[in-house]
Amino acid sequence: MKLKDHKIYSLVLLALFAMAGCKKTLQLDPTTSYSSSNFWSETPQATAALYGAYNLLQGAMAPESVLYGEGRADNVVINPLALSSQTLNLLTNNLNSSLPITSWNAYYQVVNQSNLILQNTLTMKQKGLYLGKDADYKSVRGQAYALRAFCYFYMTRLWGKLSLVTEPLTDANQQVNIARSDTAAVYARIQADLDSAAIAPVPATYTTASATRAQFTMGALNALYTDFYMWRHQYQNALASSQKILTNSTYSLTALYSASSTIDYNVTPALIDNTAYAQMFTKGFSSESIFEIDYNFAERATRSFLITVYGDLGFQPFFKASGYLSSKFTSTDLRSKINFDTNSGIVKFFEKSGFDRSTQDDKNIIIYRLADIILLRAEALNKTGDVAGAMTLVNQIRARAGATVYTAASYAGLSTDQIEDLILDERDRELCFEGKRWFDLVRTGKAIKVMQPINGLSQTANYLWPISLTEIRLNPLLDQNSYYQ
Amino acid sequence: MKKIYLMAFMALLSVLGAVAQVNSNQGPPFTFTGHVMDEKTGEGLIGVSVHVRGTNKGTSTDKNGDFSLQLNTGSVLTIGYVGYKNQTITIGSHRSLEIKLGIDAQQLGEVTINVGYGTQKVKEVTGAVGSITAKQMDTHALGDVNTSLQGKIAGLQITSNSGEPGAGATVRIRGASSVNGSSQPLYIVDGVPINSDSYGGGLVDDASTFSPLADINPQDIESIEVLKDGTASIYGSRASNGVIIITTKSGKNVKKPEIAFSANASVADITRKVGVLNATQFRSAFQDAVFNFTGAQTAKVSVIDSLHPYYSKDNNWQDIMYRSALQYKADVSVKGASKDNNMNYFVSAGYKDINPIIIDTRFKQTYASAKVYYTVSKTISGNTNFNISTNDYNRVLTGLSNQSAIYQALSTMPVYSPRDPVTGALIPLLEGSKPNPVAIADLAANKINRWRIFGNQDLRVKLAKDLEFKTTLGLDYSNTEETNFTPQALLPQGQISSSYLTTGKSYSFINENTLSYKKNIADNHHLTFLAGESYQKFNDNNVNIVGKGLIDATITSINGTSTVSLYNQNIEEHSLLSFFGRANYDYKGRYLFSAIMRADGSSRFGADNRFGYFPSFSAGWRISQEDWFKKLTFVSNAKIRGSFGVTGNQSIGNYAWQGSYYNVGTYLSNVAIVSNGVPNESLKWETTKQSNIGLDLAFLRDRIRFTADAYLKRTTGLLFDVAVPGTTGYATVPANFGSLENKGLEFTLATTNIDKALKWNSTFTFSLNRNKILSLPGNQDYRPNIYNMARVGQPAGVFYGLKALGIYAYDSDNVYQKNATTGAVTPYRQGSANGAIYKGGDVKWEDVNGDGIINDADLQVIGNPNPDFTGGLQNEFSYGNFTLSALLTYSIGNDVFNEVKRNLDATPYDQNLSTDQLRRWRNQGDVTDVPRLVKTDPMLNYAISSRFVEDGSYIRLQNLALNYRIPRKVLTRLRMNNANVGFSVVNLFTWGSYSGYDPEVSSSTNALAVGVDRGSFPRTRTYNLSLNISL
Repeated sequence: MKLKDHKIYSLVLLALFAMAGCKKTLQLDPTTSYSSSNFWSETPQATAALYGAYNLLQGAMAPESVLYGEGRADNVVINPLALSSQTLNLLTNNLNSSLPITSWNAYYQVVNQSNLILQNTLTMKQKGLYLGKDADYKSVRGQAYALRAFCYFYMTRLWGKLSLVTEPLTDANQQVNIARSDTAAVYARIQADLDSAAIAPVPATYTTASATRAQFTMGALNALYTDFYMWRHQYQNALASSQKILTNSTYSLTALYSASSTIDYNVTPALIDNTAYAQMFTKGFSSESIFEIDYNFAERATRSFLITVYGDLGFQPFFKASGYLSSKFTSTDLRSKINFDTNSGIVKFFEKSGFDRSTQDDKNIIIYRLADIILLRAEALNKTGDVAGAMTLVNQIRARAGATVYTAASYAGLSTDQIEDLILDERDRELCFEGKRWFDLVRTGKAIKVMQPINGLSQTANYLWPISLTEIRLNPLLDQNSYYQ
Repeated sequence: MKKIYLMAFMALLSVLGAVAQVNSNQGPPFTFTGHVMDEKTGEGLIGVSVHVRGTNKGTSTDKNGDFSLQLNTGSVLTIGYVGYKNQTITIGSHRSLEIKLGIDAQQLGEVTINVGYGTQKVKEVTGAVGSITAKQMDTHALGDVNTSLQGKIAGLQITSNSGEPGAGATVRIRGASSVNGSSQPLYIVDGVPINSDSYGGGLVDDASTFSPLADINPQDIESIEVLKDGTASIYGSRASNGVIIITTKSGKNVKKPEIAFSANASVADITRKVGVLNATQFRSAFQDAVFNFTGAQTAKVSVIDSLHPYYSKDNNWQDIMYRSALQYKADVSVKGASKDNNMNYFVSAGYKDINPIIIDTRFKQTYASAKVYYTVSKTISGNTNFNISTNDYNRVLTGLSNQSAIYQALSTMPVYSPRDPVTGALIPLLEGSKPNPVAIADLAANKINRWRIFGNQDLRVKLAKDLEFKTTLGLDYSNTEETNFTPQALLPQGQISSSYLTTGKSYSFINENTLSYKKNIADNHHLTFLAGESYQKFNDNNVNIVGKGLIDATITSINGTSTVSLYNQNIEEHSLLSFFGRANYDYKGRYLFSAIMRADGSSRFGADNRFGYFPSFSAGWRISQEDWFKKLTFVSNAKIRGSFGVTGNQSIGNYAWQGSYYNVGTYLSNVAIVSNGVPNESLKWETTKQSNIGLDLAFLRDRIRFTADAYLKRTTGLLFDVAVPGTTGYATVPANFGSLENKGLEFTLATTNIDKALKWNSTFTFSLNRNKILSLPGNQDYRPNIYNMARVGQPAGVFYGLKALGIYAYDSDNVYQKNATTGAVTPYRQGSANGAIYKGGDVKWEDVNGDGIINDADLQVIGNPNPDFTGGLQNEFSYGNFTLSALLTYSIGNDVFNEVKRNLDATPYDQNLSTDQLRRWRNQGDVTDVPRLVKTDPMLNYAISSRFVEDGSYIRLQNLALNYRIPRKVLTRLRMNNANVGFSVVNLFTWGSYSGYDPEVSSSTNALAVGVDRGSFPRTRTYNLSLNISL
């Protein structure tokens, strides 16, 4: 062979070997996202994952919390100009498993994210990554437990039995079909997670005022405890946990009525925007707030979509205020001015003047506030025989709003059940549209009494919501709730 | 039939014999001039050898196909040219003659086709390969690569996604062998795999997809081959859905530069309109719907007040939204070669200006390409080849959303007017809530701006007499910018104006090195070897920005927004490293053998599963070469082929096996990261094993050519993002699951029916494919969406839902059980034992499990989107300078789910309804097939059911073209080589019963989400006038 040929041959061989050496180029890792192999390697990642869980909760609650908590109850009626038919299904108690609202996926996303945090922070601690960052470790884990407890509690009130997932999905080959556990097991899980969060413990406050209101704190955990115990009718436990909130100086009622004020809100209703009570909803992070979910338009246009369900009727929100509710307010009760406009449009969460629909639809969704806990406590006191104690708390809420207080004579001789009705009406006036009413009716067993005349609700099995058709199709181990079978 | 052909053939022979026997007369010499041309195209043939019989005189034709010779009266000329039949001509006393040469069918077997990393003569091919050439594509000037393949190759089923310019298509070679998102074939252009993944219309709700194949100018294509069977394993990992090999035009053997110019002008129209109610019918239907729900008359002003100035119209919004649109295309190309053929070139440029049939839309595209071949030395030659294209599209959104101009054109109430009757101003929101489709087209801005460059550089070195080394460097770079703007004016409720920007850069680089060796031993043993190595790396870089709250419609880009709600950059890479080899052996051209092995490594799998091995083996027996067979003279070719091969598929997320966490936004201004992908380290190649048996037959000197193939394909370890229960926290996980089978038959029959002054050629293709799911995890039904599912034993993607048995005429017709003694009736209930009782006017559903309750347990298979058979029939008649061609395509036996109609009539919103509602049940005793109209549909009469499954069978006159070739006399005067004028109609007529815009519905390229009509851009009919000139 000629020399030239040799050259060419060696070039060819070189090319072939160079390429064969590229075998390692088959290992390509993502550069704009994390993979399982490089996430959970530094503590700020775990913290970011926790905010990820809150971010997922943002999505789960806006504005579904309104549909779940109010859609099947008596505070709202359909806005005749509204366009959605799903809300009609709720209001007429004609639920079926095809409705998008029957999907629990958003809550399970939070559960999985919490599971990931709990599993991986433990490993990270074992690796020594949390050395000298114990407070950080406890804070992240405590919040993850609390978030998981909150989601299971929220879900079991809607769907009853639940698939209890406590391990994250870390491999696609893992078993994905999980049957539902009965409610006793679900409650045990919630109790255990609440206790784990308390033991961790979650911090009492955070460095920023907004984080103290919009992340899980010990106060928020106690509020969740109270709500959970009330749902289980464990009144002594509820009294104990609510007491911890009442004695916590972080929380105080916002002001609404002032005897010395000369403002006539009938003449200038917009001035009510200036009260601390109104700003609790419009601005958020109030002193009364125990746990709320933050939405901020300036941060990636995050919205709570409350204007799709509430507000000026001309903009086709789903709901307007019902007559059942508006008739419960006396003329001096300033909360009626807060809650609705003259057309029964629901304006509780919006500025009465100057509300910009396009950029201010980022009102926080309040999960727990002091008035809620005070009234739950009143309910527990009534159930445990302390009617006077209960009514003192009710009157505290009434006085703040400018409503006349109940005198001892006015409730003397009423049965426990009648007192409970009084408290429930007060809860309705105070917490209307905040996604509480349906759960209040179910918890107190009064849902059929209240809703039957309105939409024909007649069976306790119908309290539960149907499980989404998509979910049942994907998981053959799931059984549909009995009413919808 | 055979006899007739045989007789015709004998007659032809005798005529030729007679011609040959004419004696030549000597006389005084004179100058004879001749012009030799292709009998079909009329193009002058260059370099044709002309020889005067009985002498050593001769010459060859020049660049125009002309020659001149000194001859005597009665001289006999023999004319010969490669690929054409030889001709002998007695000139008599003519001083000049036109000589038309016909293509020699006998030599068809000598034609070479591309089989991947090399060419083979048709007669030597052992795999199942379909092929078409430029001549078979050209009649459809405004189409793209996909549409020009429709109906022409057996086993290739192409369903275009919509009538939109540049629309994507679902391309299936022998059925769906995968169930993942892109079970599309691999596309190779001039030896280089190109990006063919469809892209969508941006980040917004839209039903359209666009195909990157539209970046190729069909005018530049010389030929297309389709590898259908296991021999596609030469492309290993990406070949399980077949391989489509495109070869572009070159300047090879063009002795003198040839300039070609073509222009096309078209008028496009919508083919048909969907039936919706007129104003009177609508008012009545709407009032019924509200009354039946609430028990009270509606108070909706637009419905009840027919004299209201704003609501007194009777508009069919389709008339307002669709237009007759003008479309143009122009192409110019130059090709040529040096005299010694050491260098040749082809360069082209094209421009397309299309106005789609929806108002306020526009599409422009430009193309350019260059292909240059050069010889460096005796042993080294090279090839450089580049294509550039850009397109610019102003469009409207499609689909079923309230910003879809297509859907709003159907659903907008006929009583509305697009403009204020007093001021004439556009009304963006009709009655304050419904986006006006005219305003959508006018005010919203949806744009796609794309450019792409792809090409390759190769170098061949002859290392020894039969040994060649080739190295190729290729690149494919595209940039797609999509913007979507929705102004505040078009948004009801609490929605805010938004502006979306997504910029995608897609880049791939490939280097391939091959060695090929050819050896003949003792003339009887022919051996060829190929060994090669390939490395390809892909890089995708997308930037997405979404802004909200624009103050007006002047600045529509993200610059006008008040807040950015999403911004991310997503860079993804993947690579493939491959080694492959092929050995071909034949003995005397009778017994043919071929063996292929390819090993592919992909970065998409974990270290343990990275490499996949894809062998194939094929053999052929050319019976017609056997001595004993040659007696059967009427059979001109007979070959039996067989192949078995393994191919793969790696269509899954680039990092799917690793799991993923991404920045989802913030919470309280802190970075929030969530998990959005579950790792699967055991993820591996999907493999398809395919067996194929084929038969090639030709009769009567190839006047009848017949090809038949039968195949069986089994795919295992289907690679897929499997939907999982929401309790996992995820929607899908990547996995290999299940297996499926495709088996089928393909026939192609090409005939020359008449071969006289009038010529008539036909090509008929027929494909039959049967798809069946063989296994699924736990063998449970898999339902990835609400329409389609996978069930063991059924074809992939069958529709499931309730089966309607009719409409209850009377309330009393609802009888589940009747007590024989008491006569007490138990009726059927909806949803549960507590559910509502069906009444007169409700749909009677089949109660599959017989429990008296109509619910999920009663869902059943209600339709099959896969056709029983598909194909086409092409006929071509030519007489003198006229050519008439007609292409029929057909698809028989497939079902379509009419989701558009279900959306229109389910009445969750205030909107117009389909004309089916004219037959709605109104009173007790009405016997009809359309249920009572009730707003919100509380009895779920509009659930997904057999009521919306329609027969999607069709036969389409896809193309009818008349072409006239300008006579040569005129051409010479105009100094032209060739010129044609043509008139054609594309999509002239469709026979079928489907009630939507078009039965050719392809909602998705995913085999488990097919056949659902979701409101895509309607297909158009175009009338085209074209002019082709070459100088």
